[in-house]
Amino acid sequence: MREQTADAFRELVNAYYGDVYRYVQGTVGAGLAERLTADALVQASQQFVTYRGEVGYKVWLLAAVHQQVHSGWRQLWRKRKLEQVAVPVQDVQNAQEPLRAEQQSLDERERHLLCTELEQAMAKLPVKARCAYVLRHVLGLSVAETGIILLLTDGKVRTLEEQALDLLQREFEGRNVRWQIDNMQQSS
Amino acid sequence: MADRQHAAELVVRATQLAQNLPHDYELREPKARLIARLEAERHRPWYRKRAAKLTALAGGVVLVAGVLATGVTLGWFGSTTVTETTASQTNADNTVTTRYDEPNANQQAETPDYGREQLLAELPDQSKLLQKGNRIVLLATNQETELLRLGTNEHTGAVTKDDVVLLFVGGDSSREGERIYKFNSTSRTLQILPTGGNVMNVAVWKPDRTYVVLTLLSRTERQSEGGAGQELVLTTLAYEWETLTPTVLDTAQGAPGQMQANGKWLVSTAGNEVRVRNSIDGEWRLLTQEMNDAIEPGQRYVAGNNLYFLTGRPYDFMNPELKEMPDAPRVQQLDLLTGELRETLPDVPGEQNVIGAWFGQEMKLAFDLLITNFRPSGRSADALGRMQQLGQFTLYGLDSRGIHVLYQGESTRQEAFYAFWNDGKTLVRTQSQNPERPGLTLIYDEQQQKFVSGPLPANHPLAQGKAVRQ
Repeated sequence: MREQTADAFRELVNAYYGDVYRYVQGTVGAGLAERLTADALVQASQQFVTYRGEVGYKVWLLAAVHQQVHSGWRQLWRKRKLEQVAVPVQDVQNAQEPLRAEQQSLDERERHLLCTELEQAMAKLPVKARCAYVLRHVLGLSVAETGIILLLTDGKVRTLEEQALDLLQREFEGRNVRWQIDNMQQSS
Repeated sequence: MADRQHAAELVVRATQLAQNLPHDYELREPKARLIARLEAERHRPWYRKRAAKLTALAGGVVLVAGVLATGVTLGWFGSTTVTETTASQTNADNTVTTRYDEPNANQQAETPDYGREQLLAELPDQSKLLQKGNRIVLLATNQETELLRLGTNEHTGAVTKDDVVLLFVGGDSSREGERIYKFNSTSRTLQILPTGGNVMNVAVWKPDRTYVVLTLLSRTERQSEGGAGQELVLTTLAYEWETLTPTVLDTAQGAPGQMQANGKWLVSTAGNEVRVRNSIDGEWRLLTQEMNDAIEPGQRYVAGNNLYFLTGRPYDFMNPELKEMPDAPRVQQLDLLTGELRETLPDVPGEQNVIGAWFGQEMKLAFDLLITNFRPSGRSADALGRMQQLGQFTLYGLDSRGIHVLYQGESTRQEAFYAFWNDGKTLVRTQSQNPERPGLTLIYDEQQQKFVSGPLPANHPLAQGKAVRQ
């Protein structure tokens, strides 16, 4: 029985690792994403015996990971960790070395710029709003599923989502991203 | 505007890009590492897997044990200190003997309720009270307009001013001599209110600093050709507080909802006649006929020197279409000093932008008016509307700072006093009817679309550093 549960959980990890990783990366940042994802999923594997099928596998997994990653004490611990270790060595090794500007096509440079700007803007959002935005817009979950994961009502999820969108748009506006892209196109 | 639109488009595009980043092929290695770790976890012994939980559990046990040990130790020291003072003597051989007495049983007896003994001593008819076996718990509060039931329904007390209590002794219809007492616990004086009959029941409607209005059900002897009989009479009396001079109001109608006292004004309605009486000159003034015609009977409220009233059709909350009708209610304000009549402007802050209304014998708020004037935003109106659907608001007071109401939900646990503050966004949950004693201050949060706790409104006495009467 225990073996079967472990096998089932491994299948789950196989299927949904990408989503979980993107969620953690989107809400915490790329720096500690792999380590936190792994820790959270290991914890979730021990809780998997309590799964009763009330929600889908993906939602359950994301809810378990959210609880692990975003509980108050863990955030405090992570903040201290981040202060001690700016970027983990492993992540530096795994990080892809960005191509030099002249090696990148215009499209790639534009994409890179947009992704960087989004990451920086997301970092300025309140945690809950960030979580709601990633779940709704990056992972494409429904309002109800997002509410289950974040333990919030549908109305609250919508409010957070709107708040996040509004703040992101303001950030993009303030950073003149459009102007940067236009500039890039003219110079090429 | 164009910039904002461009920004919105770029956010959407960036989000679409983020949906596929990092690519699945980039995640293969981390995923493989995780699966290897999960495999390793599977083979770890159970106590290592749960090492963190076990440590936390042990820590918790140690903490609880520490707290208990500290409590026991402190308790032991405390009891020793008390008992040591009871008896200690030096013997002839210079040894000291300490006697640890049991606590005095009298000291453990229940502390008498505040004022109970004093009231019993000063009530002229205490033997009757004692015979009835009723326990008088005198209301030791300074809260205004509080209506309390003491024990059973046989005693009713109402605190009307600081340290002054109206106490009704009676309720047993077979007995004679029920009285209403005005007891002042500061001056220790007791006065009997003249009632003109044997009062069987009493309802305190509008205790006020100048007047207290009571409805009395009394029994009087009736002589007729057929013989003597008894007659039950419902009387509404307004007592001037200092002199206890009674004024009979609306005996014919006898409806307690037909009169009001506020400050120095008494307002009485009989039929379509609205009369106001100024306690300074003591004269009743009849409002003009056209004003009487305009006022829906019973729908008015006095605040300060102003009489507010609704004209037009009465509100019917069950029929929202009435809001659209041309003769929908309007709020009018009559200055009782100058006689000037004007229509209030809903959006002008101040006391004239709120109004309470009477519906039959129950005080209820004209809720649509409240919503219109309390907050211009539709969202808070929705929130208040929801509250209204769930329960009932009873008007307790209206002054320049806001409306003070009792909210009664579906169960008694949902009873709470609120003050809708005139700053337009604050709802103060108060500990009692007294709005100066706030319990929880709630402010409507536009983003969260609900009331959240917040600071006291700026014009609250506590916020201004003024002492609140205790």
